[in-house]
Amino acid sequence: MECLVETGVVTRMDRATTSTRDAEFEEYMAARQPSLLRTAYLLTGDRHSAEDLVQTSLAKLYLSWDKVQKRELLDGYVRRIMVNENNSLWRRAWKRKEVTTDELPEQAHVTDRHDHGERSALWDFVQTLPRKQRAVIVLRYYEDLTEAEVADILGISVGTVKSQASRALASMRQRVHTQPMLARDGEEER
Amino acid sequence: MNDFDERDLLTRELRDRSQDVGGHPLGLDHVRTRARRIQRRRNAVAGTVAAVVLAVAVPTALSVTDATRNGAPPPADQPTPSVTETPTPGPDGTFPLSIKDLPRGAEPGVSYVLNAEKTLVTPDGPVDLPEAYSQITPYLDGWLALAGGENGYENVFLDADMDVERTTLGGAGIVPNADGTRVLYSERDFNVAGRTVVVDAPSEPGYEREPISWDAPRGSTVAPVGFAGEDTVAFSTEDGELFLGVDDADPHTVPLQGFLGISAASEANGLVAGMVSYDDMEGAGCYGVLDPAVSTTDTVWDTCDYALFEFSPDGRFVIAGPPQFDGYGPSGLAVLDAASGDPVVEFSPSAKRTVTAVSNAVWEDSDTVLALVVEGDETRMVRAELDGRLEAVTDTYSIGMNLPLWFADRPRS
Repeated sequence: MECLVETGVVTRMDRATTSTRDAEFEEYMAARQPSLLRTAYLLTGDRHSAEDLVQTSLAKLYLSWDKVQKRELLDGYVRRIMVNENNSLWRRAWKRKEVTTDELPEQAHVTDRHDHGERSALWDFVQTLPRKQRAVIVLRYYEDLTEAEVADILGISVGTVKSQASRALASMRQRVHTQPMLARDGEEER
Repeated sequence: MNDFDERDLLTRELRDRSQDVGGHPLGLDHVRTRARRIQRRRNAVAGTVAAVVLAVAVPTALSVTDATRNGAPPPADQPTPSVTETPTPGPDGTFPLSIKDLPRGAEPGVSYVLNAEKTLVTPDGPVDLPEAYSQITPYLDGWLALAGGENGYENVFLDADMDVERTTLGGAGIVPNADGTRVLYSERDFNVAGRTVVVDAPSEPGYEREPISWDAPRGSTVAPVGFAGEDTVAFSTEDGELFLGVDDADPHTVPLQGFLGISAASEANGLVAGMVSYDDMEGAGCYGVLDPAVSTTDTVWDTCDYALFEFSPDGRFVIAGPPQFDGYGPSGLAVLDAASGDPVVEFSPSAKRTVTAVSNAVWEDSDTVLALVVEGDETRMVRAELDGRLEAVTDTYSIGMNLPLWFADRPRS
């Protein structure tokens, strides 16, 4: 693939292989993109960053497509790329600079149905969590992965997953005492 | 409200919050365009390597090999040098990186943790652990470990029999110095609300030096980076603030302005390495090395071809790798000259159809690197020499739901 892209020397067989490969990738992308975007949104907290994160993650998956031989591992692999990319110290540093220089105009125009003055206290709470802890929460309670699967993706121990999740729940419990609305949001929907 | 209620609340909030997120659907062209940018960057790096490694690595390889063959035998506590022949680099100037079909070398000279076995494997033999700590290093007459506790990172002080003596709220890592006489860690001061300190403490019994501490930003979680000289340490906060802690008549901290983040410090010569810029479209950045004695803002040298990870104990080299990481880490391993940034040796994946990545790499001594390499769904620790030789130093482990092994005294992320 590297040669195809860089030199433009494409034989008939290469074209056929690439076409099949791209078709497979496109099929996977079409099937998984909405789900990846939702997870990315929960990890990043805004659509602009979520779309950017998904695009980078899929691009890296595209480059490794032929190397991931076990197709059942694809979801875990791209999830790992996405979480690590989002947790990257460097990406965070870049984002921080970008935000401070006001170079994210699209972000200001992004709205969702929860942003019309009705932001949930619980969502605000999730957004205050450090990135790695938020990743634990998203993978554990949204993706419904096991503690071991979360540990594997984040490259941390199962004990750390447990403690991070437990700590987040404890913080949430503490918030409930000071913001009873947070608990009522959930009660009313039952 | 109990844990189950809270989990249920969280799950429903996350699902509700994300269900309408549609965004602009990406097409294959969008993804391929970004992939090409990433690939161009990777190819540009490979081209640089081919040009420079051929010029630098081969003479270095010869000198290292000659020194090994003609010099005095290594000390008894050093790993036995491999007897494998020096390989020839490929056309791109790099040596093959794989965990398969490798000669078996001497046991690693650094400690590592075997997760499933809850065992610390030291050069002197295995030690049972109470749990598979994220990190553990010798400390005075016992051990200092890092664990994930109910309230975040915990420093766990253990006695020689691995019984827990006390725990404190810690930071995102503990870093011993090169000769194991000092250790850098962080802890919360419960006497002053929100106070976080970074501690440089003696870790060898009888080492005559009082512990020194520096205040970090209040309430911050600190990631100790390392020692940048006899009287200086480097650390960052999870909010991205970067500092040197200087021990003089009045111990104080100095903000580092030249980096987006710091990744390494050299106790031998005071150099500090880190990222100087980041291109989000390419998912990669440029790195640099600065000498704080000269400037805390201007780097000595920069590179957009490598990410920088750890200085050698003698400060001559720095472990590096391709600046783009995917799920497992950089896709290759390199060693650069710390003074100039010139490549000394580089290893690239030999299996073109399998994911290969270096999940962590450390110096075993000033001329030898130990790396945890992932290939497909297996991982193994390998020893990389500056002349391009590669040998296995552990068995191969299947990557299942848990990490099978990690270096004991290096932060894992």
